[in-house]
Amino acid sequence: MKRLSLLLPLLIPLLCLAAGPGDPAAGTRFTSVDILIDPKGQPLAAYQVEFTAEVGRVSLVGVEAGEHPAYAKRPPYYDPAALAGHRIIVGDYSLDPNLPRNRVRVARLMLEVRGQTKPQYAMKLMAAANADGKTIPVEMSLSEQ
Amino acid sequence: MNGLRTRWIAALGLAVFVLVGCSTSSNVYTASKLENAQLRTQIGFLQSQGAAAPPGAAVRSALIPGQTTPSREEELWVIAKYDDGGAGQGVATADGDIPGIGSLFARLSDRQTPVPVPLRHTDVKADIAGYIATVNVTQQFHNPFNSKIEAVYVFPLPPNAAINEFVMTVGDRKIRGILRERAEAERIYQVAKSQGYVASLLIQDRPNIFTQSVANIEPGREIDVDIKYFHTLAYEDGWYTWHFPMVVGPRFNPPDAGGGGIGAVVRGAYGASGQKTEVQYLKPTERSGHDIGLAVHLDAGVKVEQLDVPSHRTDTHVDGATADVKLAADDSLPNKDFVLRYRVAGDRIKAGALAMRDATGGYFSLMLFPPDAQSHLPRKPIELVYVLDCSGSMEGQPIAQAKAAIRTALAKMRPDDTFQIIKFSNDAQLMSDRPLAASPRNVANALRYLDQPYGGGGTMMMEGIRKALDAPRDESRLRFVCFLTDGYIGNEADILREIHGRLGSSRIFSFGVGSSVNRYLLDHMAKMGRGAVAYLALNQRPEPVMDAFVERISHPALTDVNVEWNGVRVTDVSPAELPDLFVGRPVILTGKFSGDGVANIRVKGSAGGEVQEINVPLNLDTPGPAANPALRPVWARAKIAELADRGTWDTAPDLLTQIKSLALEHGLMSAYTAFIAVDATRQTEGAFGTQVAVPVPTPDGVRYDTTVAPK
Repeated sequence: MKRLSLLLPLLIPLLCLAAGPGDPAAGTRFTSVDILIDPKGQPLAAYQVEFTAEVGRVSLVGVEAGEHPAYAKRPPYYDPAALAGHRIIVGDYSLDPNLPRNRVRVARLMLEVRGQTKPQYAMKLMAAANADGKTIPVEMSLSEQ
Repeated sequence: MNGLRTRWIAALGLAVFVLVGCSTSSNVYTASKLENAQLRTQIGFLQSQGAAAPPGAAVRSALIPGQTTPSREEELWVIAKYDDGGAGQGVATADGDIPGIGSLFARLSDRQTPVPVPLRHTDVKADIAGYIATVNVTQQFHNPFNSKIEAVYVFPLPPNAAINEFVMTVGDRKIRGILRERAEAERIYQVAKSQGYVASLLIQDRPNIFTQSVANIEPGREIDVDIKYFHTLAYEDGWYTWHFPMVVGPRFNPPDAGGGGIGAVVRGAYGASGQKTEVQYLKPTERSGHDIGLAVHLDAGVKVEQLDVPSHRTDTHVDGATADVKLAADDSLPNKDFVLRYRVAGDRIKAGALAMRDATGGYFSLMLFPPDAQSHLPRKPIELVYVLDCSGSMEGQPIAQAKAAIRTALAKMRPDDTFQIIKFSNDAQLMSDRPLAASPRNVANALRYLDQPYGGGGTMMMEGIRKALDAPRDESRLRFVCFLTDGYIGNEADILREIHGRLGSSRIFSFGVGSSVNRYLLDHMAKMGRGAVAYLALNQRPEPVMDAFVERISHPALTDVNVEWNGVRVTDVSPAELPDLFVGRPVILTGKFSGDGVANIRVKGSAGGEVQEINVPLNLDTPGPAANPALRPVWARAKIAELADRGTWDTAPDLLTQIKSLALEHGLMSAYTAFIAVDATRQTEGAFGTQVAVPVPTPDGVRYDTTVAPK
């Protein structure tokens, strides 16, 4: 018993470490965030958005295709150079004759969230265009699952 | 609206047709790319990625018609189903099927024992335009067991494949994988796996060997992984060659090479090799249900004169400048390289010089042909050193084929030439203590020496290299060292470093003998050895291959080659140091450029003491990224390969950083980057399950009993 009480001060930090920095899964979770665009009646043929976590540590671990048939055939592209600079930029275009004209999920971001802080997300439109390549006004929104 | 769009596209397509002088069939392709480009003007980074949508990108439904139902020769049956209550975790153990896991699979019509594997099918679709191929590979994983598994598959790709897309499909949901630093991707994968998420990870073990892991595949579920890459075709003596490797051959790892090799073990013997990467092999009496489908579309730009698939049975249609080739359904066992060769009208392909421009700059690729005059110059006497791999993996057909090749070449030597033969396996043995004159008597002795039994053990290639390159030189002769091997070793970097350190004025010609050889090693031995590579399949006559080699060395090479770019600013050219140009063997240069117009490139060199000059026009008035979207990843991949080659002998730490930065900037797979994809929408239940490797057959012609399980 005496030996155990002597060892306890040594064991407790070790036990803490086992669940802390040494465990890659500690404080890590995964979540998904939908990117929705409403082209307000115009056909959405191309888009590009920048997504950031203003608070919290977030990494992109996948990008899922959109829900509309025009954006469901393949997942959106991401910018690897931007990712190297800790920015997430995704975008895509569609040649489908039947393009979305109403609010639609164009992409779903798969994210790894590290740490206990709840992330706060922000999004910036970089481009949205119709089939003629002309810029169109759109509304964007996010939805975390 | 659609009609308007079609006319608009057709008009732009026609404009491009006039500009680049494509054939009609190319024009259709270009028009489609242009439409993409127009939309991509709104999406800057897509331009810089060169991420043109492959025609018919929705592949899943069209991948393998009929693959979900067994063919007439097969029937479905179930072996003992046993529910382990989800306790089956960790790694499956040796000898036989996965403990505690029942499985559903196809029984074969022959006498082989069926083996359940988590890889059902691989589907390959290649589009070849000129000398650049765009290839989509789909691996269809499934779980034939009754508890969760993690599938691990070690597989080959061409050594110059520029992999820049990775998509995981779960059900009908497609998730694009993200390229990250390798250690970071591996960490994310482990965390996702431990938390029950479906995740996949692609890492590079060698430039031509990759490991695909897919975690948390639930019983009965299917998960597809799509990989897309670009690469340039090989060219020699008028033939363009495209190949697709299907299996990693069993590698030998020298005892002093550490644990970073590629292990070869019997099915189920997890970790038995002690190597970082391990391939499990099926016994000759076993067969998995994994098969392969492959289709190639070729658009040569000019009329295809001849097309040949020596490796497989195919259904082939050639129509002018295009061709479609499909692997026959009865030749779908993935145990050898698929090889397609074609030659076009005239001597050369129309678009030997290609260029494109995007937001990050201009990129070009140039196929540099040796000057015609070179083929009329006579050579001086030479010294030929034949280095013959006599290790266990060469036993049987491969060694017989290699010996036949040496016999053919010996018969064509001149009496004033000299030669030497070195055999190696566990050690190396010289035929003679000095090179011999190629007299009829010495050649006859050499033929007898070739037939003497030797070797059958390990592949101590280092011994052969040292013996070949360290022997005293005869300064009056050029020394050509010919390696005849399957290249089945796991210490490639050691071999390349040794060649760099000992080459001197010798030149290395490597001959890959076998059905599925280590092309990374053979290509780079020749590159490092400033020679050329050739491949000799087991079903091929050695005479044409060796005749071409003899012809190549029968004329002096163009040496001291330098390029004047005249009027265009060119940077980052690969290869940075131009190799010697041999007759019949052009070299592909890739680089970055700025400027417009037509650059008149002048290439100068020396052959047989005479100055030779070639002038090549390079049109830089390119319409944008849609013209040749592959050029940027092809350039970046060549640059990475060059840095990696340097890294075999140069320990400068910034080489690693340069490779990593290039790969991350261009979204390319490398030794230091990896693709990760996680489906974060759902956690599967229970722990992450048993790791199940995908066992593969030994390559066609390679003996299991002398490689995987030597007695």
